Amino acid sequence: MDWSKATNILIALFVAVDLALGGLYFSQQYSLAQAEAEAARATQSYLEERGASVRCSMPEGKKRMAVLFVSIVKDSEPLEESRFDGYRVVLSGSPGYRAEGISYGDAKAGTLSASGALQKFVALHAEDDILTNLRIDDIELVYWLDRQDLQGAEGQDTARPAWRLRTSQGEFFVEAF
Amino acid sequence: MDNKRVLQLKMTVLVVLFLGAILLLYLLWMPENAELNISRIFDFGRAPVQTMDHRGLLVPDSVNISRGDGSFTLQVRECEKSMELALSILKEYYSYGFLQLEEISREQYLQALDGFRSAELDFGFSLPFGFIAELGGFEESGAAAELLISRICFSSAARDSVILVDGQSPGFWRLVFSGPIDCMARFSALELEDEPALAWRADSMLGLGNDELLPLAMSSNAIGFEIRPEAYGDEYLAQDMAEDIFGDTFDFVRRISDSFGNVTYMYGYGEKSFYAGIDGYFEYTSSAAGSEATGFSEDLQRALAFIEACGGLKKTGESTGLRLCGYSESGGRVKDRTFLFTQSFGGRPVAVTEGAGLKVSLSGGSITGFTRRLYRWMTGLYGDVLPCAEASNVIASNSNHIYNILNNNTLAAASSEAFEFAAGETVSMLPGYFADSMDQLNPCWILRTKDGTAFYFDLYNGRPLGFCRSQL
Repeated sequence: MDWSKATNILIALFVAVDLALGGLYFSQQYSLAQAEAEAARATQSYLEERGASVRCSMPEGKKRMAVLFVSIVKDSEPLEESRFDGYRVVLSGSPGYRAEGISYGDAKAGTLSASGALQKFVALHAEDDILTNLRIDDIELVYWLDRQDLQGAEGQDTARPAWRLRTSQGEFFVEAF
Repeated sequence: MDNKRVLQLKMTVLVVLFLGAILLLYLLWMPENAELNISRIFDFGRAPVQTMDHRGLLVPDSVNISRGDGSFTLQVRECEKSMELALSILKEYYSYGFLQLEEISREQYLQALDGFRSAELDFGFSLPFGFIAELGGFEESGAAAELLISRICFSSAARDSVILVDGQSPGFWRLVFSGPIDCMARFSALELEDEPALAWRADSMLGLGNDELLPLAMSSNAIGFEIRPEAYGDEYLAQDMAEDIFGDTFDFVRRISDSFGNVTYMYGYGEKSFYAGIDGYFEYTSSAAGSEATGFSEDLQRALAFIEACGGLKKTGESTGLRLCGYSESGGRVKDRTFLFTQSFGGRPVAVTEGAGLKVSLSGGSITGFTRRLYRWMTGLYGDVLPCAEASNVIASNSNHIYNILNNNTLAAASSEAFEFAAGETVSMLPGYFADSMDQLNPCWILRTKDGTAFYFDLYNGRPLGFCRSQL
């Protein structure tokens, strides 16, 4: 058997397969990006129709993130929100307490993009008056934990990635997983 | 460059291209949120789990042998042998041919038991007769299969018949077969190492209208000893159980620890939650009910599979034997079922502060609830044989306690009223073990009442150790 010839054929075959799969992958990614951009534009125009406006730049891209294990500590004096690895760690529903990051969970998963979060926010509040004349000042990816169910208890808990929307109507959080 | 070097280079390029193709395929077909987790594929470091024996799960609480003169002997250990014998007798009856099923009265049942030599296997809870048929390897697909029964009786009054009793409803039925069997000769021939206790009907001992059996005098060599919660020294047990329950979503479930170290794992907004206490108590709840019309056996298999998948049973000495000790069902075609299991030691059930050590609930074939408090011990201890506190005295001296618990009443009732009430409510009183919150296994009397409450009293001095309301 001519091994040299056989390997040439196999190399050619695998180059063709890799090119086809690569093309397929990039076209898939391109379509997804196009669809997302289109949805973002639609959301933007819907917001404008309702008199709402976005006064901040939209962070781009999607991240793969893990959950964040946090320690819940008493916070007698109101301090700046804690940060972990550059992300703000925001605790809701437990006044007088603060969440401090300890470590990430083992696995990561894809998160919503900022425009995706905005779409989810609009979909959630499409029937509300909140959107009318709403001004969105800031969109930021944070680690968020809502502990209304466990108010006033110390211990450890789990914060999840969420988009924080600072608006003229107050703060809103959209879960990013 | 020589040919060999060129070939090597080509092979390297080929390997790179092949790996590239694999990577591209992975990128194309991987779900957006998926994550490769090698530890899930190769499950390192898990302790071996015991495969549960379906057949050994059902053991009577007691086997009551009547001499035909109103007195009984109560066999509370080695009941497995009587169970095997009963199954083989039933199989033989069915091989002769089943003739009919007829309902009988309570008086007929008592007459067949008390007035003749008889043997009664009392399970302490009701379950479908169809499951017993399945265990015995004989076919019963008629109306009897659907009957919920808690006792099987063989009496020399009718050698061609078997009496089935549902002690909870209550209901009494007679299965008539084509051929007679001398069942009592076979029960008498059973070689038991344990000396059975004498027992009488409660009304003849206490003078009240309760015809349940109570042991008259009993002695035991059981003593208390220290035990450990199964999670003791196994820091990964709770996490392993949580991983088994939540599967691929485990890394994204909410994990809440309190300042004592108890951990709650929560999926979604409480659709599924799993609590792991540092004292070895585990509890799982799910709001995801199924819609399948499953049968008893199928649900039991699912419950056992869940127990095996969720922590399993560690192979540690004598503490692994599980028994079915309670069952309830409700609903129409799609049923809700709850199974209770208990550990056993020395042939006796081990009650815990919650009652049964394991509870699995299913709805429409899906697991909706699970509680677990199991213990382990490498070797059990026995002491000298001592007389136990007399059952009637235990009831008498604790009648106010029983009265107050059952009536949610802290006011003391008149002694005679409390005694009549406690004696009338008692369904059974058998020896067992009670694992208290101090991790001590205490030999005890287990007194069960009509509403399913269990009271635990020290086996030798009759002092109350605890109680547990019905878990069903």
